[in-house]
Amino acid sequence: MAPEQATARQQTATRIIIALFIIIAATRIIIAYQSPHPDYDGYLPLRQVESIHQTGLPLFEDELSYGGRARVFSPLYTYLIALFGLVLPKLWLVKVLPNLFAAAIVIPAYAFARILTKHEGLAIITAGMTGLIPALFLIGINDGSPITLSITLLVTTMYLFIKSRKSGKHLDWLLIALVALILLHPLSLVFLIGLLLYTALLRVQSMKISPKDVELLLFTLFFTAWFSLVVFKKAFVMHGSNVIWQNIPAMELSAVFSKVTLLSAISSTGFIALILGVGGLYYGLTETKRKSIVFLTGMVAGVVILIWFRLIALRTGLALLGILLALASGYALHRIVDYLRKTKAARLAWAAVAGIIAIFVIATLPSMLTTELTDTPTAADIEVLTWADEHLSEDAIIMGAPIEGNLIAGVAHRKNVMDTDYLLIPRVEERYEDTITLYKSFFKIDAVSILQKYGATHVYVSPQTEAFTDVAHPRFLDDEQCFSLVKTATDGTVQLYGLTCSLRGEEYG
Amino acid sequence: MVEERRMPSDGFVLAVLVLLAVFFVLTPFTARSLQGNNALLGEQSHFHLGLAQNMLEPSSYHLQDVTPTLFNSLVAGILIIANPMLTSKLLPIILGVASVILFFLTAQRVLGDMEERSLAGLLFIISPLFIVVFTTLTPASLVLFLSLLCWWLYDRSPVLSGVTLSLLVGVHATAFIVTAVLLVAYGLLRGSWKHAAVSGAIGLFLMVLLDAFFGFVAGDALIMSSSFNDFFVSLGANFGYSFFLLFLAAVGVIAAWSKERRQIVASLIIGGVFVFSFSDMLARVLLVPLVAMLAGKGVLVLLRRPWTVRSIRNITLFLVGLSLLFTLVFTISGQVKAEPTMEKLEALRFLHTSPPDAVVLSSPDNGVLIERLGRRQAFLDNAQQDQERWSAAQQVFLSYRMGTTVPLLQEYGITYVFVDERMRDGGVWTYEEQGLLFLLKYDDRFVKLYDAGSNVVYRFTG
Repeated sequence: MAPEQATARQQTATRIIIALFIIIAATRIIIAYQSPHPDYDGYLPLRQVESIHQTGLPLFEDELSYGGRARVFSPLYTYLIALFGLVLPKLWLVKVLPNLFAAAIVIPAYAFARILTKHEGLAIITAGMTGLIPALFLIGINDGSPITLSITLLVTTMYLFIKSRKSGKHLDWLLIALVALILLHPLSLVFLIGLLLYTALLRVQSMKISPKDVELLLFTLFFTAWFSLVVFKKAFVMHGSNVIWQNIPAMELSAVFSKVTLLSAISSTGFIALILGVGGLYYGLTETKRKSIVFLTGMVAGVVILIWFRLIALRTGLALLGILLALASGYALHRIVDYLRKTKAARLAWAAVAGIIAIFVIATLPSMLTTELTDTPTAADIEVLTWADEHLSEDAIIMGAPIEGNLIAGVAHRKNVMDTDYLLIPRVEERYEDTITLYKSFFKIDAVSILQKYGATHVYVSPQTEAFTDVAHPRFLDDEQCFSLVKTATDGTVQLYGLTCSLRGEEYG
Repeated sequence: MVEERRMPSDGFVLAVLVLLAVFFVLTPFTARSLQGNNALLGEQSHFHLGLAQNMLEPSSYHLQDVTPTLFNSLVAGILIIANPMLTSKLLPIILGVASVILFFLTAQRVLGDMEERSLAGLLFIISPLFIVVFTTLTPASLVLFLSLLCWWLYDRSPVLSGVTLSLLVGVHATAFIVTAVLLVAYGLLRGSWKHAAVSGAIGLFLMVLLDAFFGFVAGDALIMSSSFNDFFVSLGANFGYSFFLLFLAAVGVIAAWSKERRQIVASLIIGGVFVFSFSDMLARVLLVPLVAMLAGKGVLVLLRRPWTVRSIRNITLFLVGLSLLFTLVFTISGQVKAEPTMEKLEALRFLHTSPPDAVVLSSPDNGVLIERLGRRQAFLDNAQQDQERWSAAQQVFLSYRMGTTVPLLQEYGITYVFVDERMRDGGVWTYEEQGLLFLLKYDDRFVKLYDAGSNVVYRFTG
């Protein structure tokens, strides 16, 4: 191929990748703007940014969460969005920025696929598939979490790892990406486990393990372990090995996993990506024994193990699985084209690829376009909590479902009893069960004792508390002697009740 | 001309290691004395000192139920001629220094390379277990010393090694079994398993003899129970391993691995002890020398490896050093903050001003401290065998009803309640006004006598 031709192709590929980036980002941002509000958990990053702008520090000591608690987290992403927050509207930090990070995955995916397929067209198709994986559309759309940037950085790190192995270049960039990933999010564990399994697979396949692989493994292991122990030291000391599950209450953990059926898991990773990905990995492992495929297999196996042992958030795990399988699909498509070219149906090779892509798009597009924001507060929530912000006393403590904790802190600016960050919370199971028991209580004495136990002054009743406890209207709230309705939303779906009595010592159970 | 690197002599390295060991174990004591806190480190130290003193002059009612071990007899023996404070602080340090010497002498035979044994020695003395064991008056210090003596004597005199082995039974039966098993593995590795058989047989024979005539075998008392979370110091363990030390040991295992049958068998035996150590603190202590030797080998592998990328080598080695330093500082600072803290010491001194017949209710972890430093009778401590007391304490701590609490307090003659931060922080209660805390705050039958931040003393007026 003439150099001019190659440059022209490269330019076309770049334009298509940019177009893909814009399409995916635009779609995600449109979905995010289905609601004018961030997701329930999206209020936490906004409070973090506010804290950094005011004090220079994120909320390591949060006075509103759990009635006052310490938080442990890696602050890199918080500072990053706080930096953007100096020039961008606050809401963009939740609704635009994370979606741009997510859409940017097409760039490293394209680069990675180019190594796998050695074909511009197939690499572009693979990048498109990666960006359109349904599970990726379920995370980071409207919650301002670092997950989208972390996933893009993870794929970038994977690409740089393979690239540096092949050419010996890009090693400095690999180290920078790896360190950034470790500093950004515990997702770096996926890379570490993937790398461990990759070395194990090389050994099993009797393939040569290069010294560079071992060195990188050692470095990643030490850096990840060291950084995790420095950042999460308090959490490790407090929760022990339970810190791996982020101290998430067992009921919550099993509720998340029980909601997902095998079919929904397959459909969120993308049926075509699953079939082609598994096929690509199998062929790559058994026939060609390419190290890049072995590496991808190690990563896929790592993610499966993490999902199996519930060590990763389910949505994140499925999105990662989908992305990795989409990358492996590129290799499968490459093999299909190669194979068909050697047969009498050579002319149909690209038609076959087009057919597969069409099926992928037909299967994916409807679910993507009908994506709805499910974890977003309603106008009624905002109305009641804004009222609470203006009318309740500063030391009021509002009890709601854990998912509403950050909303209560973010909109009402009042203390909550529980939210979804469970690390460093002692006896979290008890608190979680108490919250459920409260809403299910028939008698005021049980309800008041639980509320007093946590110093709560108000009870929040909403569709989310109903979803959490299966109770639309807690019976104890009808006792006018102890509870008064202080605010109802205009549409009547959300109510806030105040506690007006207390128990004396002799009345306690 | 290539200049040969001059290696320091064994004597010099050993002297440096001994000095470092003394420095590390003295640091927590020094830091605490600078804060004005001269108390022994940890409840265990007070408990064992109390037990030894009780052997000489029975005074404490509840210690009568606890069987003293060889360790307590040793402490009691020294107490006859020396001051209790000096004995309690010096004995672990002397045992620590002796252990370092024995470790180095054993390493001389096991590890051929001077650099390797120097590194192993260093890793041995900076391991969290070494520092915790030799800054606390605990039987584990004698166990580690006797075990190392067994190893050292093994090649010289299997008979003496066996005699030493039998002494371990007097501290704890587990220590005897684990050391004997490790000796077999060591014998296999050294190709002298007959020595192990002789040592083991003599040890076993003496153990049976001593137990038959003197009831020598110490069993369940004194050794803290443990769980998986007690395995790593990073997970909050006191008597645990450093994650990084174990990782370096794993590198050492891979480097030393050979497919010889006896090595495989020895590795399986050591692996078994390692698995056992997940749930047994003494097994962990006994494995420390082995882990340190393997970790030394691991560090050397990383140092001598022909790294292809210099920057990765430098950062990785820097991280290894930093991680070990981090763990060392974490362990020492943990010992500096060990119970009793200065604040608690003052609260306990206040308790000393209460009537001599006062009975104090507190967390069982505070029991020994209340008895030893507050000089008042604790309602509950960890050596308490009376199950009724445990359940009564549980009821009093968690009940919100004076109707339940008052009769129990009166029945057991409890007149004082001592509350500290650990109790409020999940040790007993989780919430601000939970159970007894609610009553202490709102019922005027409890009078707050002393309040210094997290340590509060109440008097129950009845």
